[in-house]
Amino acid sequence: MPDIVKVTEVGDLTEFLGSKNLLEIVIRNRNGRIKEIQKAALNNFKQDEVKEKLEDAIAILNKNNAIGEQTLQGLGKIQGLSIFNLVLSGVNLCATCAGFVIMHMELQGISNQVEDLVAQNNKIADRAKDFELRGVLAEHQDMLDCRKKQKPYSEEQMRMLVDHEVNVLEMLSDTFLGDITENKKELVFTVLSLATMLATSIRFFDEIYYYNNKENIVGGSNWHGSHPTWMHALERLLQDDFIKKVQDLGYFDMKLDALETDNFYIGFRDQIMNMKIDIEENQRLIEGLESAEVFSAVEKMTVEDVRKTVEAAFNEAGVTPEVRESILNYAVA
Amino acid sequence: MKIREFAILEHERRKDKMNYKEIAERTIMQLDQNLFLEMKKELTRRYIKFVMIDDDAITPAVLSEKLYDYFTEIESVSGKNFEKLIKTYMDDMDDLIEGRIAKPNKKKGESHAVPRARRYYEHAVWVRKEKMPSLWGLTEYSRIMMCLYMSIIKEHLGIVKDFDFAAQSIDIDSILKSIEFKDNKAKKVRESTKIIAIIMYYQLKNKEITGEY
Repeated sequence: MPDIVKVTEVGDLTEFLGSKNLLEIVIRNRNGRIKEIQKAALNNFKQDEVKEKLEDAIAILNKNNAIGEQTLQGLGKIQGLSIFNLVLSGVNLCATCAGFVIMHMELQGISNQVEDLVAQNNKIADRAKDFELRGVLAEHQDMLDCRKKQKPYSEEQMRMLVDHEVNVLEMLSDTFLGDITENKKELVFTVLSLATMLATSIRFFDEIYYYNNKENIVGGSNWHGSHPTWMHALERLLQDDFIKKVQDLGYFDMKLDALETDNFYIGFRDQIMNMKIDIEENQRLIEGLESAEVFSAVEKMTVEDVRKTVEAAFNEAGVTPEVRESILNYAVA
Repeated sequence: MKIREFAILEHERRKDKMNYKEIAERTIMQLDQNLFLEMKKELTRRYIKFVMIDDDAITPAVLSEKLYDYFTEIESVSGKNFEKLIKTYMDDMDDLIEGRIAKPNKKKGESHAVPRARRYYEHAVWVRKEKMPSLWGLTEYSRIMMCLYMSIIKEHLGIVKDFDFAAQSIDIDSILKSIEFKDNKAKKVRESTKIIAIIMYYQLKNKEITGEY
């Protein structure tokens, strides 16, 4: 009979894992006979190299790039990431139909809870009537669908969508900063999603507005007069009071420890900063290119460059063929 | 940035003996090169003296060994082993902080909400009670208490209702200067507490998440 093994940490048990990485524990009854065999799974406490490489690939794909639905589902299975994690990682689900379908479904699932929260906690009762989360999701979906069909929204339609998204985001932010006790995580996810939608819509609007009006703009800013108001809705999420609430949510409600809370609130903050910077960089790009057609061509080129960059990164990192295929085949919607 | 949506692995939070050798192996010996140089400078400037060894020759192992001698000497004089010195560190931190964290308002007609600083302070007390002895517990406790004390320092050692929980807000020089020169409540703070605070500060720095901006 082998000697008794002294186990001081979970890692000591890995050598005893059987098929499917499960540990089989024998439970005996009072007579010493085997009563049942309990199978237990150990947490994977070692950083998976493939997961690390996937994270690098996600970071590359993230920048202004859309990811197809199958890719996202594939990523979800491989990494076990929730949609929240994907969004927090900066994956832009709001720029194409395929990506937004997933975001839309996730938000639809929690929209009742969020709408109740806003209705209960909004100090100005009348404003709650204007809060139509599902309405703005449907509008955003429709806008993306029209782009896909090469029949994009007009300048007026885009401006109304942006205004509507700003209104919804502001009300969500007010609610989060209020004295709510339930569904805070769902609310923060909705805030982050709306911010992503808004940032996408602002970029699309800027393109339309500039190329429609650049010949007629005389002095002053090249951008719509409401632009600072729209940006303020995003900048508000970076203020101390908001960030502290996100920290408290992570630490007390989600029961993360200090380091995980840092990961959470810094991830949130970085995503909002990235959105702001993307809008500003997009404006510079628009101003630098002479027409909407040239801008569109440059956008397509950028996507192709990213694809090549990702392929090169995979080659260098030695990512396995099945992982590489599942991302690259559906990498761009 | 990813968040782990499952709880911290239990083996990382398990209670364990606070053996100096294990702690040094998981803190000083794991430090990033630049952080180690900073810590070495902080310790040798005020608390630890090397007579025969040049500064360049003081490696993490050499410094750890010197600190081991230091703590052994304290034990032989005071009877307090390393685990008890950790307890003293936590007592000293609590003495500096507890009385300066605002308590909930008890007046009728006013909000009785627990001030944010008090919420985190009570969590630090819970960690001390339920998760010690463990390096995880000690690190968690140090993070909260150092952030609270930094906010107290910024309030000129007054009472705080809120505070900055960012790891970047902690500055060990400010903490040590306050303890040594400004804080009347710090007169009984032992030298071993200051040294443990320095070790824990650099442990926090070594694990710090900075983000893109």
